[in-house]
Amino acid sequence: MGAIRRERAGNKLVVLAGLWVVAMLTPFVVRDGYVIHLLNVLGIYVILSAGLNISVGLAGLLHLGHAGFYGLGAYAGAITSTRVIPGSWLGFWAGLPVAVVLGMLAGAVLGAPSLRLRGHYFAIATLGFGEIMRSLMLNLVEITQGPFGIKAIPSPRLGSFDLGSGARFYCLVFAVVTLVLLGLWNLQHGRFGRFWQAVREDEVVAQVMGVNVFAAKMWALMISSGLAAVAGWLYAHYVSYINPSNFSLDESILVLCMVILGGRGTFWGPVIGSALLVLFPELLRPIAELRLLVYGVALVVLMAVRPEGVVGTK
Amino acid sequence: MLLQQIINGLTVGSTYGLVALGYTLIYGVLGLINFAHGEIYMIGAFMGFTTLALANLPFWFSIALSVLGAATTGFFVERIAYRPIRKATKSAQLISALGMSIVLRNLAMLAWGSKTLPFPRVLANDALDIAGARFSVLQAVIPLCAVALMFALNGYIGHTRMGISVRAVSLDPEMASMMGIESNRVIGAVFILGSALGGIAGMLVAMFYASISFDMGVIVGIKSFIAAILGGIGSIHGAMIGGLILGLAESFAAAYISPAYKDALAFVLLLLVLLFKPSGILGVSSEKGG
Repeated sequence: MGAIRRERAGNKLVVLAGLWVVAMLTPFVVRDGYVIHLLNVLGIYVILSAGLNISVGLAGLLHLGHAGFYGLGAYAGAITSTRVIPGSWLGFWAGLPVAVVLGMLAGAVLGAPSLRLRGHYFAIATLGFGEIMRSLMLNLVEITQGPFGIKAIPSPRLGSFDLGSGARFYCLVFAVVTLVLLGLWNLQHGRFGRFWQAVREDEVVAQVMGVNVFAAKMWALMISSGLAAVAGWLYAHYVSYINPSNFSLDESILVLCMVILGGRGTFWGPVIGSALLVLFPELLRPIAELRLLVYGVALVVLMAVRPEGVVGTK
Repeated sequence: MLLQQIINGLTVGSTYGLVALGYTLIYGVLGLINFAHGEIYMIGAFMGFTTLALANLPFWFSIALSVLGAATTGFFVERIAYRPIRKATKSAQLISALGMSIVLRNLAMLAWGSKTLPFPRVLANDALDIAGARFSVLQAVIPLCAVALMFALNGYIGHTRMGISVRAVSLDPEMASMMGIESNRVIGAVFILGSALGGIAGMLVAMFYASISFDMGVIVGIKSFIAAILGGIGSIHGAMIGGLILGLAESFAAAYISPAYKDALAFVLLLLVLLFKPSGILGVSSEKGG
């Protein structure tokens, strides 16, 4: 039995490695600029949704303010590379730790009061927090330039090598996505993963078994927020111009839909959900007028047919 | 100046309160945030626009049709997006609700276009004058209307057979069904009632601001939901009180602090209430599990 199981696991690993190589090589084979752009966007959404999956899927926290942390990371990165260390490729890289630390801190600030709340109350508190962050982006004009946003954000570079567009940016995003997914795989299958699962299944029992429920939730929220900030940091330098409307409630909802459509709490769910929601609207491009309408109908129908998501099991 | 802010705050606040009644009714019975409720409010406004400006119908007839339109929409929203998945997880229901709100918003955009449209003036806009504060007739009508409707709803819930069934289902759905109450009928009725009130609110706000757009329901929807939580979700008086408090707070903040943070204020209030009294001002049970 053990040998068979090990063999299956081995096969699975080979398939995964194969898929990984295919995914990495895609932009070098498909040389269409628009397709590569979509893949770049997809990569950013995978980071966002995989991060959100930790709080929504693993710890069972319905989170509606993810875009606030995404925006925080974007602004932290953009300000670091345009004002703190301008004119050097170091600015881009220095922005990463700044974004992650700020993101995780903000996650803690949200969690400290709101983790006492349950269910929808928690969801609404996160929604409020996300909107407050967007309001700060809009109104702290001296730091964020308000509604005008931050322009001319330098593209990511390594020395003099430009990583800012097309297949080059894809290499960067792909590397980050790979690291994030590997990290999450380890987290999910380690101590943290078991704590989260215990908390999600039955908080009271988890507490009795000696799990620090508050700490487990807090870490879930902080890691989610840190990853959202990483995605924001990449996004800001990819598009080179950000403003508060990029980080609205709609964006939070989109990412939440990715997690839930794919299958919350599963490892590949967010990846599949992101792919669906990034690529699906593109398929509808010929009927641009009806695009959002069809998107809404699809959400309703999918929830009726598969409320646990595409790869969900329950 | 002070009186002026109070009057403005009460006008806006009572419309939040009217919309909040719908949230509070539906949340009370289903434990579900009806994210499409803001869109139902928008549909009410557009039905009013269509019947008044396009079909030239008399005002009272137009109000009746706008209420009917909103109520019908609410009825179908429940049938299509909520009833089939009532047993599913809360997050699946939430996504379905969000999907429905996207559908309604885009249907409205297809039907009426994406531009902001002027809403016809119905009531004469004579300004009244009290101690230096100026306000229109409509600003007197809106709060009176809202409070009257709240009392009517309260009477209905308190004294009619259907109202008692609604309370029974919201207290204990299983027990209610054992007592022979058909919960599906009650839920349908609650959606129709809540949506009708949302439709009236949409019509009143459209008259007040004299303009409507397909996305007008989003921010009002969220703020009204916040109003419902402020007052204590599930409570009818609470919804109105929450709405008035939010309206007054916004009006004061815009006048004395800065109009820039007006929208964020609702969320700050929300977080404060959730922190210190999550059951809201008039709430009884503190939490309805998630």
